[in-house]
Amino acid sequence: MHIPDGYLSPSTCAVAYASAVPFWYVAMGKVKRRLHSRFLPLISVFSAFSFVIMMFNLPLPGGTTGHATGVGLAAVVLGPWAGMLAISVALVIQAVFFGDGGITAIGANCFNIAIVGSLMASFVYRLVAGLSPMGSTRRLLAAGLAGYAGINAAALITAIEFGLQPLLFHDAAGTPLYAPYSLAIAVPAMMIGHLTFAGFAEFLVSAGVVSYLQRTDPGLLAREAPGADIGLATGSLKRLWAGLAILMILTPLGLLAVGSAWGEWAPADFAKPESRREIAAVSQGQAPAIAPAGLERLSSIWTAPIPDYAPPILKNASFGYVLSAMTGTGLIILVSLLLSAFGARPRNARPSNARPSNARPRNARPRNV
Amino acid sequence: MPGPVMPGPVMSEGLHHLVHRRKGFLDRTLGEISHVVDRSFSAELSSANGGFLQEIDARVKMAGAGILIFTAAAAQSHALVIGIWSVAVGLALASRLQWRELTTLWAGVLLFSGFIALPAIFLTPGEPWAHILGLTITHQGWRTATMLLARVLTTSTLGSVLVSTTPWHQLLRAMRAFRLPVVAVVLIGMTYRYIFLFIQTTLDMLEGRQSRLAGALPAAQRRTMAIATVGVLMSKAFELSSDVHLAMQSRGYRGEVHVLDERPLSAKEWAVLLALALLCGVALWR
Repeated sequence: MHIPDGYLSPSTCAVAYASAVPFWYVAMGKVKRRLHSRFLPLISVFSAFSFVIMMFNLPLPGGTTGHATGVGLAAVVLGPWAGMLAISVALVIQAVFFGDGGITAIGANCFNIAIVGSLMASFVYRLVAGLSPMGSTRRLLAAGLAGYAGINAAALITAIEFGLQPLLFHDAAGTPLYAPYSLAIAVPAMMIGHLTFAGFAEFLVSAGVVSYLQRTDPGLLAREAPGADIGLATGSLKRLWAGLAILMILTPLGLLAVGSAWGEWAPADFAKPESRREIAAVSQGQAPAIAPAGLERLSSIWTAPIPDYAPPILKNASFGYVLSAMTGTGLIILVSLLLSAFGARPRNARPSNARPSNARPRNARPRNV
Repeated sequence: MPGPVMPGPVMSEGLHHLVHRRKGFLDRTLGEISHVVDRSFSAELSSANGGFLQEIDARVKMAGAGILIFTAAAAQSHALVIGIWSVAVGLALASRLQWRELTTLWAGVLLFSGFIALPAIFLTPGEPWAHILGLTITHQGWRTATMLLARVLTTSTLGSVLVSTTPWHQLLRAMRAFRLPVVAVVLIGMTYRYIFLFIQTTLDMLEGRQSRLAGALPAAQRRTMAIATVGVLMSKAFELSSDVHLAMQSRGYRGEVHVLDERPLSAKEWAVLLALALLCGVALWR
């Protein structure tokens, strides 16, 4: 996927550089603020690591082998911003010192692989992994999918850049001046290989290494998994409570809706002409003359203490909605806490000297990450 | 900060021995590593040789290569691209680069880019020019495919000549001269050093694993071995970054990077660069 010199026009290369620079600038600021003096050693060492793993030939099912770029792994372990810097440095060294990728195309290669790939991989990882425990299979799958999505997003952008060349840059006779294939050829040609072999190699490396780290060094995964395994992070919890409060305040908006929800009719509604008209309007003109017998019988089994979200003690319907929301939320939290407490009770006592599966090894050194 | 770990003849011999002995995944991976180390090693050797470009300031070479690469990338005529390629070959020979290095480079470029360019001679719409096996070659297809090959051949030759005649630390200093942020230059320099450290580490791990094997492993186990090697390498990378950080701090590093200023380019060097830029500008304009 490393674009050599000559495949992209100078103006495309210039646009790619211009597109990459703001990301590099923001990433540099964010990562330096976060790491301070650890910035240089961490990014340079991880860049060197990325460079070396790009040389690994991974045996794939079917007898073939494939290379991984490490873009998924970088996003999972370092996060999107530090990951894009580390991969960018590795790509620059590949181009300048080893001729892998063009010098004029460094901006494009970094934009495609390091920037788009890292952002996509990180997005997919966070989306799929959520707050799942550090050692869960879901996190493993999330890492694999992150690598797969990252490499394929990069491949798609590369294919689009190739495919735009004959459209934008050709001479008077129609001869393409740079990459010769249109989007109709470039996109499938690039994506078939990446959706299969290259994507699979990236999936295997990302998921495989995360599986290895889950067993041996889960601390490396903790940086990009706030709140995992030990519950919600404080920041996330505050945001969640704030969101919940806003939703509760907004519940009276439900009073603005006219009519009744389809299928939630009370037996008495079938007797009222106005309600029958509403039922007929949303039921292809049909409204039973009387309430169905089953509905009539079963609806009287249980009478809710706060029917229609309107507590009998309140006259104001809006306050009634808010109070109902608070009551319902409180009950849900109470039930969740009871279930959690019940589920957390150990079935078999753990030996006192046993170490949790996801804890750092005793002899592991403290890490400045 | 640890010093550079440069590849040496001992590592190169060991690599070749391993590559000849191994098969499959190890063979291929060690082949890749061998290629990178050999390439870097031969570039270090040729940059230390006496020759035309070796005597020229790295900043002038980098700027000159940049101008020629840009001209080749922007050129729309075969003659101009082939002319630049001829200049690159002439400079390579004047700098005592070996033909074998150049032909190996060209073979790789022609194989990779030829594979991509070949279908274009049939698929590009245009005026029919020739027929082969029932397929029509168009004028436009022929022109675009040959132009692509010539351009890639020229730019890769220029890049290779630059790297083969300039020690890597001088390349880094040249980057700084072109106002690349100092943090980026230091980052690239440190990464370049650690690449060889990790290559050596990887080599040790693979050799250690291979020495414990009595026969060929099934694909699934080879895959597991490759992934475990990457995992161990990552753990080592993080440990190393902590060690390097502590070592840098103990030497007074507090997050700010400073480098010594270079001597300014001489009037003669500026004149050469301006003349080259002017010449290329005129060639492109015509």
